[in-house]
Amino acid sequence: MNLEFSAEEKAFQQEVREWLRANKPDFPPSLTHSREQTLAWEQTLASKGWLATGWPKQYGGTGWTATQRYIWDTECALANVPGVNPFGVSMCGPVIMAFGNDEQKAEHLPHIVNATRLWCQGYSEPGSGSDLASLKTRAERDGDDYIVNGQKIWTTSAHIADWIFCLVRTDASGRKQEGISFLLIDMKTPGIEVREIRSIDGAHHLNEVFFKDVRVPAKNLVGEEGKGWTIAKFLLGHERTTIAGVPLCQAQIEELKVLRDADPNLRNDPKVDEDIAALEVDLLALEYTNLRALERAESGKPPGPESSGLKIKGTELQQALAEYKVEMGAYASLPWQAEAIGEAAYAQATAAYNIGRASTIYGGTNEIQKNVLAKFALGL
Amino acid sequence: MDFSFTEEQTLLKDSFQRFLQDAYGFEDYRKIIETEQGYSADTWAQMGDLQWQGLPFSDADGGLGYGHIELLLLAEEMGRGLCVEPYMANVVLAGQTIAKLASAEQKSALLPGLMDGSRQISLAHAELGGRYQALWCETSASEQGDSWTLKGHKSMVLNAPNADQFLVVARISGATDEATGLGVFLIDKDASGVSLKANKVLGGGVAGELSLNNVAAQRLGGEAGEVIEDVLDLATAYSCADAYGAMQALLAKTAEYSKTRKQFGMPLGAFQVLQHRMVDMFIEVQQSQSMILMVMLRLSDSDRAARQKAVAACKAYMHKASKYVAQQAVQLHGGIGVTEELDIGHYFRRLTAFGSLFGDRTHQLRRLAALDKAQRQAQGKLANAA
Repeated sequence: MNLEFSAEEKAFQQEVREWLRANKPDFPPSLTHSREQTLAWEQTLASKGWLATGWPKQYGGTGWTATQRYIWDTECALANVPGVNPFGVSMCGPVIMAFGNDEQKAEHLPHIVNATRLWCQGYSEPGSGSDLASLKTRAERDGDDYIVNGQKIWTTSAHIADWIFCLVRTDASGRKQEGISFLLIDMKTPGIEVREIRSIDGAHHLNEVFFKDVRVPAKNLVGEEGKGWTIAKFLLGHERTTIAGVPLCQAQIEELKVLRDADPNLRNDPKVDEDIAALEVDLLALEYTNLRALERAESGKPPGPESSGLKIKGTELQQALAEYKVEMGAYASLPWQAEAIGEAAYAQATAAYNIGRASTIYGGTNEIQKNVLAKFALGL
Repeated sequence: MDFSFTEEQTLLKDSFQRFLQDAYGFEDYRKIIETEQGYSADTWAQMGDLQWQGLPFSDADGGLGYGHIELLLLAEEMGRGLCVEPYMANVVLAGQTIAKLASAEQKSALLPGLMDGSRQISLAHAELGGRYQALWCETSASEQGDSWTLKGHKSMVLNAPNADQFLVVARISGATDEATGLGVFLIDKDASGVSLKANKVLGGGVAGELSLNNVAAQRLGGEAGEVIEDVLDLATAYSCADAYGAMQALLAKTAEYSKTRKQFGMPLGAFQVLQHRMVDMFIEVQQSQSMILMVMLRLSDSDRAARQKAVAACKAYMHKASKYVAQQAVQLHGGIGVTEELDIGHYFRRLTAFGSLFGDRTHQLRRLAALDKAQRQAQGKLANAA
């Protein structure tokens, strides 16, 4: 057993740290970055060749090992730089690599890896949340095109995206999982309408997307018609080693300690010490579970039982950290879309706590995750 | 990055598991815990023949020279197998205190018998007044010429009724909760002034309340505070690994039961509310395994505070996790879960005892916070704090 980074990994860590210090954007992480901000940061990363950290070199990715990616994520969290819009780099890209044809790869992968197109994800529908396979948005074949009609919802970034990847129904006759297809759609296509949804953080990042007789070239079908559910499952099992958000949680624990130590009321309250220690203990368990998953990925083994709980435990901890920050702030957490009172760090705490409730809902609710675990981990 | 065990470690673990499966059926265990001594002398002697008691001692001390990883792998199997042999009391608590503190002469007098299982020694460290504070000590040691005299009361002395000798932590100087001024002293169980009240302990095994009224004693080594803290930390890690073994057994038995027990015409495992409960148990077992691996890695850290933080964090996490798994295992078994007929209740007791032993979650969280603050102070992060 050994968890020491190798000399090469330590050198890499140093290189990353220095580069981030020199190239950090002048705006902090946020869910409401403009299109310009998002593209500016991603293009900075792309010009260094460090945008697609999970991709092989062949497609313009970094070709990093799982450990290098872990180091990268940790350093990004410590440096407090904005995250990367996941829908292109982490989702659509890997799908096109695994299921797309040469023409699709040539058309889309360079735009993703160079951050010249932004993507969003068309999965959920008003009637299809956890029961995603019941989705009804129809795509009917008409010559060389599909005609798409229906509605998607909870579409993060749809208002700033160039393209959307969608699960659509191409056949309603069989089992609901069959007859689903994976379609790439240009957001500029006539018949698409985006309406904003205000979320409980008071901000706009979620949307509804309406499709009315939208004509999509059939060449934008990824994989076979009717095999879209296989791709959806591929994506759900993807990114196991980063899903827990350990580096961000570590940065947040440190922030809680700094806030505690700066406040005479908090730093002399043993209950606060105990509460923060409890969060730290949960984080340590999560970190080591994540490292176990990482080690398996690194050595080419399939994900083990340890990885299944990562999404559940990771999102629960993210929520607990956000909740605690709000409570530490006392009155300073209450100003709403207003100037901060007291410690400025608390001004955004409530909004972050509010929207953080979504983390146990998106990507398959934690209850759905438990259904899956009961079946595959416990054989129930 | 590498979490794997060596082939030798894996073989050792398998041999522990096989031995305990053969030596310790649940019916055997039930008979053993009803006896006065609370363990099986036959099994203890067989372990001695296999040199298990010598496992963590160095070659120079006449042991097998294995480290803490092998020791924790053994503990895991002890927990899984509901083993009540007095291994932790003799080998970890007393044995490691001797190994870290005693002179060569004292070692050669004490360790051979301890390692072949013929001699039993108990460490008397705890006192009720100090709750879980490792170094809180009212029992006093005074020096007259070249001999020492002990006076005081020690509680929860594990395996005391079976011990031939006791190692007593006593205060030579300083205030009751001071970290320095402590010594470890060897006394015979029959020495004048020793009185012992024997108790059974929750979860199996026996212990004693030890009263010392001007007892003549021999001192082991010098200043003992750091050694006592280190030994209690190793024992805490050992008991966490034991608990992890017990938790795995409870999860496996509960999941299995839920597949065979039927109510409303369906197996229990078909009910979603119970599925989710068992998934939560499963996740807690996984997280506990991560904590055990974390402790295995960090116990060899050269930084003492890092080792202490690792143990405190592991115990703090596992106290809560083990309580959850134990309570839900009883709940999901229903009525039969609260009887002595089934092993579930015995694992439950074992894990309840684990929670309190060497400091509960609250104690460990406070300890962790104090260690972390000391580190932040040293790093200058508390510059303006008062």
